[in-house]
This record gives sequence, C-alpha cells and structure tokens, in this order.
Amino acid sequence: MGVVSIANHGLSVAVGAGLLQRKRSNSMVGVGIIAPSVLQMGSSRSRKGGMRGIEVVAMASFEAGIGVMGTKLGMMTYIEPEGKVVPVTVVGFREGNIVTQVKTSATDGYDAVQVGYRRVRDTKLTKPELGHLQKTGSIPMRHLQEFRLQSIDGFEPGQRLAIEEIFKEGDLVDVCGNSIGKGFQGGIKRWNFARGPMSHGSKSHRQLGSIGAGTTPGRVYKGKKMPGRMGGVKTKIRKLPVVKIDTDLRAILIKGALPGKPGNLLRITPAKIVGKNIPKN
Amino acid sequence: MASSSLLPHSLLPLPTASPLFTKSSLTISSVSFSLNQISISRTGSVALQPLVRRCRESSFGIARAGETGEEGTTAETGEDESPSETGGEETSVAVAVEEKPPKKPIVKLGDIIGILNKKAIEEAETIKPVPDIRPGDIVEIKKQKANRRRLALYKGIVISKHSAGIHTTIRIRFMTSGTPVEIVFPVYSPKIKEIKVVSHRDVRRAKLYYLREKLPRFYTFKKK
Repeated sequence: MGVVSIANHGLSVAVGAGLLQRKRSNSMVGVGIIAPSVLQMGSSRSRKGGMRGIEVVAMASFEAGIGVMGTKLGMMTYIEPEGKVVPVTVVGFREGNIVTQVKTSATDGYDAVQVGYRRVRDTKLTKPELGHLQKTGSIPMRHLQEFRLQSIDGFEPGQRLAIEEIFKEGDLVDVCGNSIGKGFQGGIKRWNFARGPMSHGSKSHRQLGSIGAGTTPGRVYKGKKMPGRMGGVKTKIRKLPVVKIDTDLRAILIKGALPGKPGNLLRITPAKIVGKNIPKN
Repeated sequence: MASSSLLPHSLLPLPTASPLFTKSSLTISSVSFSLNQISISRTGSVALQPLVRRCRESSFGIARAGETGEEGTTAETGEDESPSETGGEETSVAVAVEEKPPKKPIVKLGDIIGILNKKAIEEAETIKPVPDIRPGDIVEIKKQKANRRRLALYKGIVISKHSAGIHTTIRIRFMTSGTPVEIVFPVYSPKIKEIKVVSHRDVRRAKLYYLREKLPRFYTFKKK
C-alpha cells in the first residue's frame, strides 16, 4: 500500500493505495480521498503544459502473481492413478522467462515485471530491441511481456523464473494466447445464429435474417452481430488446473485446450478468482 | 552476475566470418574452442549442430548454476584445450566435453509429447504388462468397476486398435444376453486389471467393422 502524490494543477493530492479511480472504470476500485478537480481529468495520464508530475497509470488490471510465457506443444491424454482420463495440453518452455526490466511507480508510474522469452539470433532483433536487452546483459529474446503486480519485491533484472517455483500441480491458471484465425466468417459460425430451413420453399438458408426494426429507429444498431473476421485474436482461458509439471523435460500439462496451434506463444498466469486473489486496493 | 559475464560475446562481433556462430549466443570460451574444431575437422553445418548445441547447453547449464567462479574456470579450460588440440583428432570434442559437468542431451520441443507418452506407457507396463494385441484377437479383459469388489469379465473379438500413445484403445465386440455390444477399452488404464489374448482369428483387415453386418455367431464367444 503506497501513497502516490501527483503534482498536477498545482495541487498535491494523496490518493489511498496508489490508484486513481476513473469515472467508468471497472478495474481496481481506488478507495481514497480524490479531489473533484482530479476526477475531472479526461485521462489519467493528462499532462498540463509545463507541469509534468509523475503520471500514474490507473488503467489496466493487475495479475494475481508473476506468470511465465510458454509454447503450446500439442495435446495428449493423462491417465490419473485412479483411472480417470484427463485431456491435457502440453506446454513447453524455450530458453527464456528471464526478467528484463522491473518497472516501479517511481520511475514508470506503475509496478510491473517485464519478462522476455525465446532466445533468437542477434541479427533477428532490431538495434533498439537489442540495446534494451543488453542494458541488463540478457540474451537476445524475441518476446517481451509485462506482468503488472501489486508488489515487485524479489524481482531483479536478469533473474530467471523457475516454473516449479511459480506453479504447483493442482494450481489453477489463466492462459492467454492468440486463437486460431478462421478468416471471414458468417453469422452462423461467428455468432452461433440459427440457419433457415433448407427446403419447403425457403430462400434463406445461412443469411442473417432481420437486422433491425422499421422506421423507428431507422438504422442498424452499432455492434449488430454480422459476418466478419473471426479468430486470430488474443483469447484468455480461465481457471485451468495444472495437471503435472515435468522438470526434466521442462513441460507443464494443463487440463483442457489452449488457444492457438502447436507452436503458439502462451502467457500463463495464476488464475484470478473472485473473492480469492484478485488484487484489491 | 552470471548473466553479465555472457555480455561481451553478444556485444562484440565475432572475430571470424563464420556465419554459423553469429547466430547462436555462445560464451567466448566455447566459441573459440569450436571455431578451432571447425578449421580442423571441416565438418558440415549438420554435424556442427550437436556441437553447437552441446556448447550452448554447457554454457546454459553453467548460467543455471549461476556461479561466476564455475564459469570462469570452464572458460579457462576451454581456451586451454583448443590450442593443444589444433592438431588432434575429432574425438577431442568428447575430451573437452568431459571436463564440463555431465549434461543431458537437449530435448527438442517437438519430441516432448512422444517422450511423455513413452514414459507413461513404461510406467503402466511395470504395473500391468500389456500383451501385443491385434485386430482379430479374441481377448479376455478383467476390469475394475466402481464400488464393486469382483472384477467384470469381458470376452470378445478385437475389431479395431487405435494407437495413441498412453491412450491406445481397443474395441471389443461380443454378444451378451442376445444383444451385440461394442466396448472401447483404454489399454493402459489402471482400471483394466488383466488383458489376455485367448485365441486369434485370421482376418485381412485392420478394422473389422464388417462384423456388424454379419451373423452374430461370428462375434459370440462362450465365457468359461
């Protein structure tokens, strides 16, 4: 719990637990004394000309704990000793999961740990990327992701994250990844619409049907479900149990299916469960 | 910091023009050692891959240990080795490797699922040996049911075998109380207490689905 003072409007406002509350934010609820002038700020990162205090980043939510990045390898079956058959996805780990930067509220406005994954050739990275990694003397890595945490104690640049320390068998995890791209798809596949009859004189089989009312409102609502590109976007699957951790092969077995095809980059974090470990202020 | 000692190689361009080694991040020690090996043995890039991986694995193993002292000594030994072996044979590779702590061979990510399946099958085999089953075998299976002390017995003909590592399944067809039944059994499941091949029928197919259209006497077996 920290107190961050924001120099803005010439006012010093102490906000409890270090966060502002945006008017329509449904992420962290900041309980504290908030001056009305501060609430009226259009963006939490507003800058007044000449008055540059520490910008407190109040958007985005926290992770429940440090996570790792992995590679989806495929699916197989895991037979438990009692005889129960569990479908599992095997997640492998390339050389990586090294902390490349630790961001603090003092320097960057928020607390986060930046982790790199997947070692590549020097020539595959741009010079700015290489320079960023060489600041901490780490190997050239392709992927960098941040894990925004409540407390960044115990993380240093150059630290290797060990999967056995972060996850145990039986833990629940959230897995993010890019889902398989399906291309341009129609309403039936994309939005689970029902199709029309195939016979009996029907002329509409896979069409959308009606897309709105009549003269009132005289338009189609925004967000109307229509055909479009489906898949190929970041997807998060929540609360998957870790079935097994194999330390020799550096692999994790997670129950269920994960986004993407084998070879896909995955981001595995401890599950955020309401009432248990969703970080509150 | 152990990682900081890896810094120099990634910053400086490697002295020789070998493109193979600019791509992999090796410590200075292992790079110089291997470069000398290249000049002698004149191996192709394919042969160098295990060498490259071994060096990388060694340096990686050292970084994992996280002790600069250990890395420093191996760096020295690496560089000492190389000049003396310039005139040596290709087996000098093995000699230098023995100097470093014993390391496991690198496992390719694509092989991991195969290895996991193999390990799981080996474990299941030690508990209960599984005979070689083929379509056309007449088989007796003893299965443990939930909340029952006595094992259930199934005797029928194997009409298909689906090989899927630990989840290899066989489909048994038999007749019980005038009703034809097909059951799929996961061969390596701990609930299957015994599989015994009783006899065999000559078939010319891998999948005997044609038995479904045949007379029941072809898949009726008397249980003793």
